[in-house]
Amino acid sequence: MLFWLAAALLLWPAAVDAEESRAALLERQRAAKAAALHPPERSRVETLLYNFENRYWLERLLNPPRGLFPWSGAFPYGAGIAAGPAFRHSDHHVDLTLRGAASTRGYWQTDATLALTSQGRTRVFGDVSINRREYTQEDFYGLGPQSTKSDLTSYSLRATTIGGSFGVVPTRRTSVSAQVEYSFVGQSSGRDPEVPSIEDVFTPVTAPGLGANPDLVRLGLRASLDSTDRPFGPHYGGRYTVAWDRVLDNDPGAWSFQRWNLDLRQYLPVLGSTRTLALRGQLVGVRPDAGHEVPFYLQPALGGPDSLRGLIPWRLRDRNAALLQAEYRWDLNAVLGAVLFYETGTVGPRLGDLGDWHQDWGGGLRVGLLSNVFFRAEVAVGGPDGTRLLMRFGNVF
Amino acid sequence: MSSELLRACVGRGPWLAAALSLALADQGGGPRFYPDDPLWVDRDDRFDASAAEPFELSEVWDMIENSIPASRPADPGRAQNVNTVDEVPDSSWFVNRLGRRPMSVDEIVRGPDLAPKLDVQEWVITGGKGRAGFQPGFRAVDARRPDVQYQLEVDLEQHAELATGAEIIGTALYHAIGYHVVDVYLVDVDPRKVRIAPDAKDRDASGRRPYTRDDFEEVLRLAKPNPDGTYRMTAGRFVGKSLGNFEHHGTRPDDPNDIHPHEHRRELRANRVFAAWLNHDDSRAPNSLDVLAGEEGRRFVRHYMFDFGSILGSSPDRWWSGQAYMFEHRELLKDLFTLGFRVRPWQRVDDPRRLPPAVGRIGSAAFDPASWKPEYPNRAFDNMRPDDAFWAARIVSRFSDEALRAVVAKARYSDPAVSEYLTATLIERRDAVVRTWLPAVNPIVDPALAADGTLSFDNAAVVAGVATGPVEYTLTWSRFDNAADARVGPTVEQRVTSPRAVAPASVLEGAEYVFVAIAASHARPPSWSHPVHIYLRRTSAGWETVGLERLPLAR
Repeated sequence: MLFWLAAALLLWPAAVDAEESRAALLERQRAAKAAALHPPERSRVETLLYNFENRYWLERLLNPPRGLFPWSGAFPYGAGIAAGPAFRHSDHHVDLTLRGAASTRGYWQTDATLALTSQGRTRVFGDVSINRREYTQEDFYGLGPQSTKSDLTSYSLRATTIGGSFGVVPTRRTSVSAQVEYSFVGQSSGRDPEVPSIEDVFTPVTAPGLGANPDLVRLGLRASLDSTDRPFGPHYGGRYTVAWDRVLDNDPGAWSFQRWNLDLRQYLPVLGSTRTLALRGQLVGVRPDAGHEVPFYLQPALGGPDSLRGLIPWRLRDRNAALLQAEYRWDLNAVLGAVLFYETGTVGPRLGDLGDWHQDWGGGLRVGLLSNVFFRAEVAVGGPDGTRLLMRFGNVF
Repeated sequence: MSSELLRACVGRGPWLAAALSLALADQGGGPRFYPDDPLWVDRDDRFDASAAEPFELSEVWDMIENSIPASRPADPGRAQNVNTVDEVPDSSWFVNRLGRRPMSVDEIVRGPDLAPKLDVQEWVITGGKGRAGFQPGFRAVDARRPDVQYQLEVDLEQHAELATGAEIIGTALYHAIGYHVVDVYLVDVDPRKVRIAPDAKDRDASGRRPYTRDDFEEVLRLAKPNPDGTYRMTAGRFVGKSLGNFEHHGTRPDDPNDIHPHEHRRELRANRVFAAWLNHDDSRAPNSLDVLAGEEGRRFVRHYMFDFGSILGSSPDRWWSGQAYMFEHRELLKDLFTLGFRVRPWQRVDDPRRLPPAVGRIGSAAFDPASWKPEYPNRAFDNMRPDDAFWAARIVSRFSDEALRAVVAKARYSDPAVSEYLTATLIERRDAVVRTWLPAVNPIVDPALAADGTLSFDNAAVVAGVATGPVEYTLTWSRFDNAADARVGPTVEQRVTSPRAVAPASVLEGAEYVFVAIAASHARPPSWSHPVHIYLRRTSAGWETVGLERLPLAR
């Protein structure tokens, strides 16, 4: 410190010398600085952020194009915290992904997928995959719109599925695809120690498929039209999807049925591009072949953070489900948005008999970039299950 | 004050201590002016900077750091790199072009380009471009000139011509303003005449890997081809060894020539005016470039403004572009509790969806230069004072309609409506900038004292047609003792109605230096009553204007 002080004092008289020139004065300052150069430095936080940005640490960690990485699983809501290893090798032609994960509540899954990746202007997509999964503590409240919370039971579901899909993109906004799958399904007692197992409360009459282990073939068709302005967090346009599945019981059993799904989403800008009215109507149904039934775990369900938020997940289940959702979304800044929502929905054995509509409303905050929701925290009120606080990754619709 | 300053400097090194001595000399007994004042060239290339190391900023950190108000202490003293007549000398940061001399339209349009057209028969891709910026692209060389590397970038298909057009326009305008910019060319690349160098590499999240034809095809897939099968791209030349970015505060600790804190450099402060004009909301430190220039043994750092692909509102998703910072907690709370129905005036206009996709989020109807904001604050912009803005607005005022039309034409938009819209918008925004910033201070310029004692000067706002002339000018004359930095002798006051006066003989007679303060009486801009201080020095050739302070009371 004394050195610098002395240097400053030594320079002082020179600076006020009337014979000095401005250029010389500046040069003197530069000479002084030249004697004390040092490299630029980053703080630890800045270094960390720099590496995330420029060395792709986040993508390397979560979704690298090649190599091993950790995976948090793709389990249904309520599976607990999950983790496992994954491996990927992808190039401009194919993407091979091998994954496995287990959760704190005993869920586990493994899968291997080989998918076509976009190549130039090719307008086809497809994949083949095999996966095996076991969900140990799934919730079931009974069928119909009048199910009660007190009827909560748990069941286990395991399945091995081999399948593939192939699709084309005839125009930029449309796609058509077909799927085929073969599944070995087994349902057994639930392992949630806090609630009764399903067979203690329900019978094969009130819960079709209880204890059954069908082998199912699924043939599916799906078509979609997307006129939205962006893939995530759209402000305007529509996204319409219709899907139809034919599920055949491979054994001469009783589990063949059709399933259809109509999902219509419309996004309307409100006074500019920062406020959006998002509307969704969804109708899902299954229709068993004559003399057949649809296993309860393959019947449409409502409730939870992605459908009726005022209801506990999987709270309503039956052969048909209808859902209407309306959200008013507004951007607060580049990474934060707010939402108010109202939604209503019901289930029923027949489409024409849909009644007892449940409804809820609420609001929340959403974190993401440019309306692309990464995480949301919401409160839903007015539903039969009371006030519910929800925290979830990803958007609703 | 002196002891506080001294303590701060002692903690930061000898070069700051030297700066302190200069600052105190200015406030003390003098001299105020040196023989070489006003300095028009700052030789900040004299000390060898070969040891400077590349240093790239974290974009997220830069945003966080600058978005926290406490990290940006207000310090709007006078810009430290201006010369004694309140102008910016030529340096490794800035070269006076349109601000000091006429430029032909052709010269403005040509900008930094080394040739009218980049004529490349075959491109050889040398590698990927990484993640920098939103535009897909790659690095390549002309097969005939493998020593010169370019970065080529395309527009995204849904916004064809948007970013490439902005890059071309921004490069030409920023060059004419006076900044160092990289030469960027508009090229039509024929995919059949592109080959991949055997050692070309790209880098992704899993590390380095060979760059393949598929990578090139992927870039093309995201773009829209021209009718003849070529692809419109910009080709920016690599101008030397990159040293990363410069920040908008502090100095580079490894550059001996960099002595003026960046937040006190006028060309960085006043860039807020240019950025507002062009809606360069992405004007931030990570979009700057330091390059090691010069010859072996005497390298110096040249500072570039870089990456204009997102000016002119060319990131249409940024709905707040130019109107608000990304993070404004008070506005956020207002929006939250009004359920977003608090529609601000700028949200009612300039909806880009009504415009062709090559036009970004830029308009003139809701443009208020004074309230314009970049993506997030920085200390240089925060420190901009009216005299800094005045300096910039004078440069903006010198861009003619014809020049702006020609610069927009250089971008070669396929839709004439785009060219028309952008030209009209740039003209209207230019006029708004000039209307806002020229009359905001006492706009006395170009004072000159003739040998016969006649003082003439101009009123920049009146000359630009954005203000009426004042009722009168009040001139207060006195002699000036340069060595003592003090006015001496009796003062003489004059009142004139035109920008011309005859200096009192009693003041001029035998004087080496003369001081005159000029205030203007005008109803509307009260700032005009604050006098501009002018210092004149007698030379063998007559009187020379050696000093001008536009805001002398705000030192």
